[in-house]
Amino acid sequence: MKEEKMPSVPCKMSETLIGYLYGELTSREASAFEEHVKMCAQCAHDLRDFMRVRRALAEWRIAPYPNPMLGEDVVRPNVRQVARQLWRALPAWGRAACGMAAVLLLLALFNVQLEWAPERGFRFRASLLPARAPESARSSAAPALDRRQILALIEERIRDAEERQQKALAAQLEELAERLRREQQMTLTGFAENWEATQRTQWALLLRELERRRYGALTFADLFFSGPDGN
Amino acid sequence: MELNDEAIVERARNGETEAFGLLVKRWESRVYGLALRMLGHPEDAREVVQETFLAAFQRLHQFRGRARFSSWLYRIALNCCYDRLRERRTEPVPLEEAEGLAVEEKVLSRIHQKQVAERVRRAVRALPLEMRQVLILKEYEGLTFEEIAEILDIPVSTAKTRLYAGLDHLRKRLDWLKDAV
Repeated sequence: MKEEKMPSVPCKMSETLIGYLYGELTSREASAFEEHVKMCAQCAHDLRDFMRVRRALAEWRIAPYPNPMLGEDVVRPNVRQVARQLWRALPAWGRAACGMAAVLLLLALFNVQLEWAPERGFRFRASLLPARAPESARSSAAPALDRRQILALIEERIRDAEERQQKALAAQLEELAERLRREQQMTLTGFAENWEATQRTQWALLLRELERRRYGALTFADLFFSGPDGN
Repeated sequence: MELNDEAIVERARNGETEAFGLLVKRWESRVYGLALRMLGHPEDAREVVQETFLAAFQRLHQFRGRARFSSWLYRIALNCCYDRLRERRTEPVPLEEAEGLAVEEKVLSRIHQKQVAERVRRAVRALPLEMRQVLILKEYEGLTFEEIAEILDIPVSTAKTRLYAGLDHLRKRLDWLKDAV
């Protein structure tokens, strides 16, 4: 069924209609408007259409705020946030320059040296020791040690430390050996004493057995089976 | 008991910067929603949120308390939105395009909610600015006509008239949705 075409001029109650639509009328005003709608096709039509439009509007939902800011952070942003904001604000070339600066800083910190010679090709060296200063700088800085001297000093100290360690180790080994010797001696002495005591006991038992055989058993066997020479 | 906005503003004005943080937490989502619906771009909306609270913090001493803090804040947010619209000229989708879509879509009897939402978004963005802002403040921010009038510095009757006109525009543009909603 085709809907009746409504005039484009709104009813004089259009503001009231809007108030009614959004529940901002008093109950008396609302009742009065409901009576009006029964009589006014324009308002009835508008009301029905606008309610439908509102239902459609309700379909447009948005995602919650994706980056909720903590209150304190807004007033006093922390270092990390400031750094992140600065980083975001940088153009691409600025980021590239920062990256390059960071790489150079790291190379400088680790004293990376890249040398090239035709016969040896590229040589890559890195250490935490300071690089050898250029000749001019070294001559101007009077008491500074050069790289070779520092290395010699370190080697010497390492040698000293190694010698000290070796001496200490030798002393410990000597002490340990002495202790082992003592323990071994004590063990051997104990063993000898034990052995001697055991032997004495064994001898005593053996002698007793021999005595028993010679006089007890021999006498008894010889008496019944053989002569005194065993035959 | 939860402190009202005006009491928190008073504390912030007395030097408690943390108090302002409470206001941000309380209102950032609402400001974002308003900005997103006004501008249509999440990135712009996020920037408007930041600009709004920055401006509010800087002008806190100007807040006299005659209006509600929320009205004052919404006004700042809307001004930020206007600035951005002027800068980027992200003006509404032309009416012809919206109507063309409407005709094309009329044949569909049932439409997915997401598609409905997208069409609604486009229809709202196609509204003239003065209608769009009243509609968004009323429909999505749930403000009273008194509050809207206060924010936009217009009479209440004007706010209602603009909303009527806005709904009338939308009725025509969303006519094809009548079977879908």
